[in-house]
Amino acid sequence: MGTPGLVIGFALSWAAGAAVLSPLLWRGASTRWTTLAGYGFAAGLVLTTLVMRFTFAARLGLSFGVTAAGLVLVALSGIGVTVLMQRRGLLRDRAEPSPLHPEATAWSRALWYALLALTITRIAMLTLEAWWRPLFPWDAWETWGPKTKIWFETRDLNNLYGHFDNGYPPGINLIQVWANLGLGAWDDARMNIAWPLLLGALALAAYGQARQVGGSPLAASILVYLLASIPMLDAHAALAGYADLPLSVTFGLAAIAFFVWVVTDDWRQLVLAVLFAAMAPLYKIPGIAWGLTLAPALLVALLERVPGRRALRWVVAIVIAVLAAGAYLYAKQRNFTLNFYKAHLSVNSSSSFVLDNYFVLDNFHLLWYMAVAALICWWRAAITMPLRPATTLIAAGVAFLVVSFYFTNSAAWWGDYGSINRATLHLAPALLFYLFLLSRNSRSPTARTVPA
Amino acid sequence: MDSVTTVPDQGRSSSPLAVHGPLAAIALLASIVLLVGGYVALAASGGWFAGTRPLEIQLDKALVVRGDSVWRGTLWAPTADAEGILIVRLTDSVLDTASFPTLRLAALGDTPPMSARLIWRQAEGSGNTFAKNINWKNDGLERIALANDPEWHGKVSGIGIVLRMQPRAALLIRSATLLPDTGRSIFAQFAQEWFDFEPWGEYSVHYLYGGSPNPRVPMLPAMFLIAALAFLIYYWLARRNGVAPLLGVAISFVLVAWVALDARWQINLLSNLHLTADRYAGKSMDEKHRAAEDAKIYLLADAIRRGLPPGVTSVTLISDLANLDLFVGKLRYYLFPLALQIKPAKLEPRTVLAIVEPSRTALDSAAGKLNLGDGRATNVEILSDDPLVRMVRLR
Repeated sequence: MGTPGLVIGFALSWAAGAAVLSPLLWRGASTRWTTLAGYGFAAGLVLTTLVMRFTFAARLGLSFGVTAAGLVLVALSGIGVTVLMQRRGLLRDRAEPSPLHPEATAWSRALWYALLALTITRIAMLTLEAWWRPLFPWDAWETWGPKTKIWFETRDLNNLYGHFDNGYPPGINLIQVWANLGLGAWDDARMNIAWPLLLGALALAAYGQARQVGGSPLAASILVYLLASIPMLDAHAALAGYADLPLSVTFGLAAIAFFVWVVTDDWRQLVLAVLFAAMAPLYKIPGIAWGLTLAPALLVALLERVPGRRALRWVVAIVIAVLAAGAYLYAKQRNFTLNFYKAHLSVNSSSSFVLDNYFVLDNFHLLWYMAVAALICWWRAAITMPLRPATTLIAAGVAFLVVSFYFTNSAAWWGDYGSINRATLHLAPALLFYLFLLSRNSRSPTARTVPA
Repeated sequence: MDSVTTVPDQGRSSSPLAVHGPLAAIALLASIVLLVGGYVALAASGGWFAGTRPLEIQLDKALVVRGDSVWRGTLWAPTADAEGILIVRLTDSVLDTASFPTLRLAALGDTPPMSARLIWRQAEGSGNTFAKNINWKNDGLERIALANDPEWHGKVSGIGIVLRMQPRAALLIRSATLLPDTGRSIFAQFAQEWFDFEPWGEYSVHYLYGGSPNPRVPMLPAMFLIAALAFLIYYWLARRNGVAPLLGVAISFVLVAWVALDARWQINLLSNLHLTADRYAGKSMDEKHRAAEDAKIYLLADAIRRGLPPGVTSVTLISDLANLDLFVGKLRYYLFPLALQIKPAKLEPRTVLAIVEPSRTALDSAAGKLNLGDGRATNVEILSDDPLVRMVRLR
């Protein structure tokens, strides 16, 4: 089918994702389309892989037609539920649609357009790079590519054809298979187009959520430009085929929704956060740990929101859920290992690697300088309500990185900085949005932000 | 920072931009001047305005004293001997050390050297040879500061490097430059190193230099320092002028620094995209792989497929390259669904072999005999004799 097939395939994924999330994000005339489109695309890709797994397990095979039909059904279900909820008044418009540029001055409008243009240009360039270049970095063709090729050629998800089973989840492979099914032929360049598109989805969603927490269009566009210009994110979008960018986007969207819930108390954002946190492990095993970073943050939020005995019940429930997840992990992986990673108690001498990669090499532009400066300047705002749960989430994420850098065998790959920045990439979008929130909140630390 | 927002405004009626804009601009300019000027004052040991030019060492006149002189494409790649020793005389010209406090070596080893030393011979007096250990980073650019070395004085009549490496490992040398560290030279290095093109590499998904590796001053901390100092100056200016400092100005400084870094990254992305477009745009998948960096492996896989008799689903590789993960991994990827076997303990009759760059294996096509170099010799049927690969089947 070629390029039209590819476009139709991803459009169907997008539509299905957006439709399924509509009950959470549809607000009639005041719907934030950027949020729906961004979250919808990211969710749509995961949904597509689940549809492929389901139809294959149901012996319907692995084909474009079957997957497309499945996605249409999913989309129709999502639309049906949304319409039903709308009719029953469950999706009330609680806010007037906000103008594109409320009370904007000429220069701020000009800046908004400039930042928009820069962001679009960046993502377009990355898309072209991914469109033209065949699989390039090591793991893309060594770890992920072979399995994708085998599944696409054999149309058999149980076939590994002698390729080692790395135990990784099939999400990445199935996205690539889906692209090739749309193209109708094996194409190890264009099958990676989802990577820059996911970065675009992150930008769209972050814009909508920044507006949701009361950010002006200019502030939201600055945030989006900063997100889209993080060099390590860009490199993974251009040289596509690793699982790190999809995991980064998925966990980032989960964290952003959690932050929005924290400041707006909109329960639908919490559902969105939990949904996306649950999706993270479908791309890469460390997604389990990233998803679990929401747990302590959720505990802190609930303890402050729910009084007395009810709070205790929630705490017990969450602790049990986390313990169950941990026990499952232990039983499955044994010896406290996450795939190739093994924990130990002795401390790695990793500081020079970390300092080099965060503060000297241009992997994240000024993100880590901003984080350190912000916490020095605004630590009071960071630990007071309403940001305390958001700070807990970031602290849990940083703690996870600290453990993996200093107390696991990951240091073995650091001679060539083989994992430090890819692990950090998973937290980067969440951290940037958190800094955005912190900078806004530091102006009025005691007040909840009112949606625009 | 809280105090930033609590200092009472003096009731100025002008717009924040009109009041704070000029202060911020002055602060930013002052920060740049102070930091750049301060750095040059400290580092320009060759004088601020001295006219000494950097001295590019002519590599075609350099000499391998121990090891082999080899070329890899357009790059000179002197190679260590069997004991892993490589000694290169970079120049035997007489130089005035006072003019050149720094040596910049654009070189990359196949593997990081276990030890590295710079050696030079005094041109005057005893003619002694001195050595200085180099903290070799092996990221493509070594910067050796000589100004504070007590033995680096007067005139020298030769400079060389001594490396202990893996046996037969090579050092690819792009350039060697003696730097005068004048004001102009330092500015030129800033520009050259910060805007050095960083092509996509396998490492790019792991880390990014942000310009040249191992620069004199890394751009990232430099931009942060400029923004931080600018804010301190702005804060002082604002208080002095009786206006409440704005948090937005601090954020603006950070954004300006971010945009400066991102401008470099954007130019780099554009340059990479240009190269990618030249190589791949408008081509079919097959044409793309034939144009790619690993085209030789793709073509080899194609030659193997073409040399196979019908019905064969597995091929065994006989090659000196069978130990290279990258080579075998990519060949396996391109050959799929054909299975690739390497280093089999036992060769079964009817096994199809792909013989690629073998140093120990000898094939006598006329006699149909294959000597595997490990004492095993066997009769074979010749399937194809491509320049890239010879395909045979065991009888």
